[in-house]
Formats: sequence, structure tokens, C-alpha cells
Amino acid sequence: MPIPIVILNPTVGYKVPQILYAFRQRPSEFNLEEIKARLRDIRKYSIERLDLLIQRLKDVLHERYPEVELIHADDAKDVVKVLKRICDQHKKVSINKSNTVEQLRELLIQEGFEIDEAYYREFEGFIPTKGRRSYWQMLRGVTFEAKWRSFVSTPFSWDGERSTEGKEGEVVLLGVSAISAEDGTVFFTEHSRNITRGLSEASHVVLLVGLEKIVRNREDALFQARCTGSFGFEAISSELNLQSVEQDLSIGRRRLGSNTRVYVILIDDGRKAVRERDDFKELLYCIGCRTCNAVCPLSYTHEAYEGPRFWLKRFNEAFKGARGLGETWVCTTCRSCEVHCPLEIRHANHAVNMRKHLVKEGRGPLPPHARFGKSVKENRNPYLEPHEKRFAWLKERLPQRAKMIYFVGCTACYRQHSIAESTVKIFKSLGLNFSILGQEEWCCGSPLIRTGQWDIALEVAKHNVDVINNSGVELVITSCAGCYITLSRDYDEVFNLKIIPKVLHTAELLHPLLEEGKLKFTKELNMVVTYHDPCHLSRSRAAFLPERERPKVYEPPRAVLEAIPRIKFVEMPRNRDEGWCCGAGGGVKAAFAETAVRTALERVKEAEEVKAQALITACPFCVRNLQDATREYDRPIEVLDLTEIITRLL
Amino acid sequence: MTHWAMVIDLNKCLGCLTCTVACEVENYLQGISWGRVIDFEDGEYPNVRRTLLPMPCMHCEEPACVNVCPTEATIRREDGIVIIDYDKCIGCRLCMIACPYDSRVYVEKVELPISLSLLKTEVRSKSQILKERIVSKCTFCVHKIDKAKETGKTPGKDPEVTPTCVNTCVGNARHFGDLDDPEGEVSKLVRSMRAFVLYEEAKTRPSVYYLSKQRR
Repeated sequence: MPIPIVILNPTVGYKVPQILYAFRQRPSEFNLEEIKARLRDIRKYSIERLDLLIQRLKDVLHERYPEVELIHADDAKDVVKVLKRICDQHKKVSINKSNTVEQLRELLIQEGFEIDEAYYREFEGFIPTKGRRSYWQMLRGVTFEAKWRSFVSTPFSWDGERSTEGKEGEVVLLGVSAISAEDGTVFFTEHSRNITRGLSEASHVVLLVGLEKIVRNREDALFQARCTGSFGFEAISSELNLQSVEQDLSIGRRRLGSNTRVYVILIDDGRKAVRERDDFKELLYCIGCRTCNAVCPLSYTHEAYEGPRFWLKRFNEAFKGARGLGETWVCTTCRSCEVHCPLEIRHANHAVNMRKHLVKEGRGPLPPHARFGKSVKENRNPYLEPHEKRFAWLKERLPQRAKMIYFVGCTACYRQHSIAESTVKIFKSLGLNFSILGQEEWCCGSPLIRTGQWDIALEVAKHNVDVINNSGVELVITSCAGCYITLSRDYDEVFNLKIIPKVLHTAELLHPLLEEGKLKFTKELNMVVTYHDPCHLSRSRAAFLPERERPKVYEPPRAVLEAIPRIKFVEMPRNRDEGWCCGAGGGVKAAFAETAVRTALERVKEAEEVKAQALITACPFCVRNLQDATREYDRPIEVLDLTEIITRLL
Repeated sequence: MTHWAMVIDLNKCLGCLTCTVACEVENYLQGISWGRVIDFEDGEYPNVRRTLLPMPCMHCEEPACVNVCPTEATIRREDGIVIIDYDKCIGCRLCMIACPYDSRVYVEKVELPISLSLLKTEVRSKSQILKERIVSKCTFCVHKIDKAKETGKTPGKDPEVTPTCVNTCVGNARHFGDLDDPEGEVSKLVRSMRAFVLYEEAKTRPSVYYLSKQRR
């Protein structure tokens, strides 16, 4: 009897108990955090005992299912070699929509294979693009609980004759969701129709198992596969438990010929190398649910970028010399994926670390990044402007020494003067005693840290930290989200340099002043406004050092906006932790300007959907990119910085 | 503006399933039903209570199904009725997962093709004819309501333009009408102390109200 296979598939008709619960006013028993914690435990066990699990799986397959051929493959080329042997002369394979298989597709086409993508025919007449409605909107429509409850298992039994429609010599290549090392049970998630078709009609079944898919036992494998479906949106279950799966396996509905050849390919493809490295080990936690891809702004707007799901592929590109498309440079490090990931894998750190490695090896950075890196080294700003003109916008005289300094930042100094001017105006009107660093203010190094140019970043960081610490100030205020996070956190976490005075964002300074009644709005503003969260002021959970709490500046800017007389503040659907990145960060604006603007346009459209007349944000770089989008696509909405709107009302 | 709504008096529901059968006949349903009645018992012996809960589509004001539809096949009309364009539906069944009331049904097979000649007498658009492998649900008998304008009749009062389940209800448990008309029967019933909606925490704001069961 061949290897047991279970396909998890969503179904309906499970909601009656839920409705009755609601009718009787009982709370439903469901805990997302427990599910996440258990999933984390399962993954941890698998990673720590990977060699043991591989050995156990090998033994089990050899003992119980001797007709199954187990093959080790180091990389994709090995797999193709094996496939060539299996396919013999006709090079035609049918594949499923698995991450591992998708990565093989290109190589297979190159080698002259004909690929049958049956999963696209699952919904006939549906063109497999991103759909008319945005993916994120659909994602929000279904609660996790509904997805979780909707999964049932469809068993697959191997006894009996192969279906007559089956073609002799057909090869089907299937990536599995999880495999149990204890008894070799294979789990698939979703696309049951074409997986069943493949299994029942092909004469050669190749099961592709990434090493991270091997799980301790059947129960854990079931749990992991179910999570893959429920967290991702592939999922479209009554009670799904181990008993039901075992029952299903014993009954079985579909049949498959006993003469079907089954192959299990264990594919390494850099997974063991990842395990050895502390900074990339987290990649193995991934269960392949693709939640990250659904929320990634760049995978939506950049044509070639495959999203955060494929950092393993890029790891091979950076460290093992595999050929790639240079996707490492596309991430904006907005950390949206990290917030949504059930296992909280910090993909932005992988991006930064890989870029650092590429720069060290001389394979990076990209020319535009190198240009602004050089500019920072020579001119102390990334905009190729002379350093002497940094404060050309400043008309007033400020005191030489004060307890508080305003760290202006390059974008406000050279490109968005009005933000710097407004901030100074607000501070003056509030009667605050403050000064600036003048020529001693250098670029904070935020873009350099995020594009991997850490040697130049270290230089400016050392200078800035020295100057600020020696000036004897008590408070550093910045109007830029990038400067804010770099000064307050990244210097400490990346370079181990600590700024002694407290660092605050303008919004954080203004909010208490507003509550004390010192900041008063004398004019009214009859306008509908919305607020865009800059990534560097949000998403605190993800950080270079996860154990340290990151600030979340969510409420202060909103409180300030809401306090404006007669203003109508509306919230966009994606706000706070779930906010959509403007697309400018991480060196994307410099290298892929068009993509950055398209990403910003998504945000502008969202603001228009809630009928806002002005889109307010608190980061000069966000303002710059969003304004570019409104200008380029001719949108009527006004993009303003928080300080700019306040100045209008003083 | 109109906002069609239904009020179901749980005190009067007998559980005879006339509405379910009538709906199947009216809408040519084959092997599926849109108007289920959930029958359940509550409490422990000897204090047991039997409740019958008719479950049509709730025609929510903020429907969960509309947002998840990838092809925009499901829409909410201006008069509050949520309908599916069967031509656009691809049968992905995401809406079935999203709907908190489980009121959507997947049509696996249509045994007897519904011909247009059969429907000649009705104003039923082509996109409203059931096909195979799509998702379907209660439409508040939208083809009847659409007739109201030309015939000058009022849905809720004249049986020709009122949903079939309301017409056929043996115990007069169902009431249909315009919620935006403050003097209408439905509005009055909704304002009563007994009125409630199902599964309020889903925040979908249903247009189907229930009148709670009272012990006598």
C-alpha cells in the first residue's frame, strides 16, 4: 500500500453551530494567539531536529513503502535532472501551485519541458491576474476564524484501478504542504480538484518536499498544513481533527492504480545553509502561506518582484551564487509582511542583511544607491547638493545654544523646504527655545543603512552621535520619520551607538502641548482629512532586535488632527499596523522611481475612496513620493505634512 | 429611497417549511434550497425549548460577501437587495466563507436546464438564471419586486410583488416592506422591543429582523 495522502480543502455548511452560538449569546471558543504559539513550537522542533527528522522519514519510507523512491536533491538543477530521468523522452509535466514548484518552473521551461498548469483551469473563465478587486480588500472580507473553521480533509486512497482517462507516461510534479516524519503521511492544501486529478491520472507522481516541510508527526503536519491554508488566502472546515483524518484515510473515495510510480524528492536548495546562519535562520520558519505576499506593496506594484515569500531564493542568489533577478533590492523595508506573518518572520532584516553582504562582496549597491552613498560621503546629504546650502531655507535667527534641538533632515532641507519652515514657525509661535545643529548636522544615514552601505552609515552615525551628545541638549526633535527611527533606535541596534538625549517626533512633542492648552488653533479648517502612517513611525514589533519595544507613533498625529476645529478626520481602511507603504523607502524611490510612484498612487486612491480632501502624513519622504503620485497621475487630493497643516491654522 | 426588509416573528413560525418549498418552486431550485429553517433545542430536560429559525439571505447593509468577490459578481442594489450576477460568478466560493449567516449555496449541477421560455412571463434578467458551478442565494424574489413599478403595486401588500415565502407563510410569521417608510408595518415592528438581528457582532447590519420568542 503506497504512501497516505490527505488534501485539505475548504468547505461550507459549518456555520450553523456558530449562528446558534450567536443566537444563544455565547462567546465563540477561538484563540488566534494559541494557534500561532503552537505553530511556532512545531516549526521550532522541526528546525532544531532537522537531521533526525530526515533520517526518520527515510527509514519510514524504506520500511513501510519500499516501492516509493526517495531522492535527495541539492538544488533545482538536481530536481530537473531527476525529472528528465523520470520523464524519459516526452518532456511534459503537470504541476500544482506550490511555492517550491513555482521556483522550478523557469528552469523547466529552459530545459525544454512542456508545463501543464492545470490549476488555472480550476475556475473556468477566470483570468489569473490580480483580479478586478484588490487582493487586500478580499483578504479583509473573510475573518481568520471563518477560514480556520472552513477546512476539511479530503482523503486519497491508492487502492484500485487507475482512471481510464489517464495518460500513460504522464508525470505530475506536486509540492506538498507538510509531510509527517513519523508515518510519511503527505498533506496538500487547496486546489484539490487538480491535485486529485494529477494523482489519479498520472502514471508517475513526483512529490517535491522542501526540507522545512518535514514535521514530527501526523498531528503536527495536519496542523501546519491547515495553517498554510488558513493564514494564506489560498484557503477558501467542520471540525478537522486527527481522528477525522485517520477515518478519511481508512475510507478513501478516489482511486489510483497500483502501478503508479511514486517518487519523493527531498530538496535542500540552500535550506541547510540557512540553518547554519543566525541572521537568516528564521527563513526556515516559513510555512508558505503567502500572507506576506498578499500585503506586500511592492509585490502588488512591481511587475517582476515575487514578494517576501521568496527570500530563500534570494539567499541562494546572494550567498550561493545562484542566478537571480536582483530582487533583493526591491523591498522598501516597510515591514508590512512582518506584522501579518503568523510566525513573525522579519523579512526586512533579511533584505538589509543581504544587501550588506552584497555591498561587502562588491556586487552592490545598485548605481543610484551608490550615487547617493557617494553623495553622503562627500556632501553629507544624499541629494548631491552642497553641504553649505543645507540651511539656505532658514530666514530667521535661532539661538546658538538651547536645551532642545531640531534635527531637520536632508529631505526637509533640500527638497521639502516648507516642512522645515513650518516646523520652525510652529516652534517659534509656541515660544519654544530651540536651536539647530547647523553645519554639524549630517545625513542621519537611514537610506544607507537600508541599502546595505553600512560603512558610510557608520561614519555619519558616529559624527551625529558625537555632536548631539557633546552639545549638552536634553531633547532632539525631528520632523522626519526616517531620522526619528534611525536616531532613536537604529544607531543603537545596528552600530551600538547611543544618543543620550531623548529623541521625539514633532507629533509626539505637539500632542502633550495641545493637551496642556499651549498649542491653540486660531482658525478653522472645513476639510475632510485622512492620515497616512509612515512605516518608520509604525509597526513596532518588527525590529533589528525583536526583544526591544519599538515606539508606535499612532495616536499623537491623529489626536492633533482631530483637535483642529471643524475638521473631519476619516480613517483609511488600511491604517496603523496594517498601513500601506508609500513605496519610497529602502532605496526604492532612487532605484525604481516609477514603481515607487505607482505604490503611492494606491495610497492616494485609498484616500480618495474615503472621500478625503487632504492626505496628511508625518514624513517628508512620504510627502515627496505621494505628491509625485498626485502630480503624475493628476489627482485632485492634497498631500501635506502634519506641520504644514498646523501652520495654516496658527 | 427604499430599503426592502423582512421581519420574521419567531413566535409564529411553525416549522412547516412551506417557505422553503415555495422558494424552491418559485426560483426553479434543483437539489438546493435558499430558505432553510434551522430547528434546534435549547436547555435541559425538563426545561427544553424548541426554536425554529428561518434563515433567508440577510441582505446586509454592509455585506461581507460583496467585498470578497474577486469579479464583482455580487453587488448591493440601491434598494438594499444584494444580488449575484450569475454571468460574472466564477464559483470560487469565497463569499460562502465570508458570509457569517451561511446563506449562500453552491450550485454543483443543474439537472434540467432552465429555459428562457419557461420564464417568459417574468421579468427575470438573463444573468439571474441559475447555471452550473456558481454560488446562489435568496434574492428577496427580486424579479417580483422589480415588477412593482410598472404595475403600480406595493411589495408587502400585494402578493404579486411580494417574496413568495411571505405570501405562503401559514402562520403569517413573515412581514415584508420598506424600512425607509417610518409608518410602514415593517418599520413599526423593527422599532418594537422584541426586534433583534442575528449575529450582530459580525457588523454586517442585516435587513432581516427577527421578533424574539416569548414564553406564554
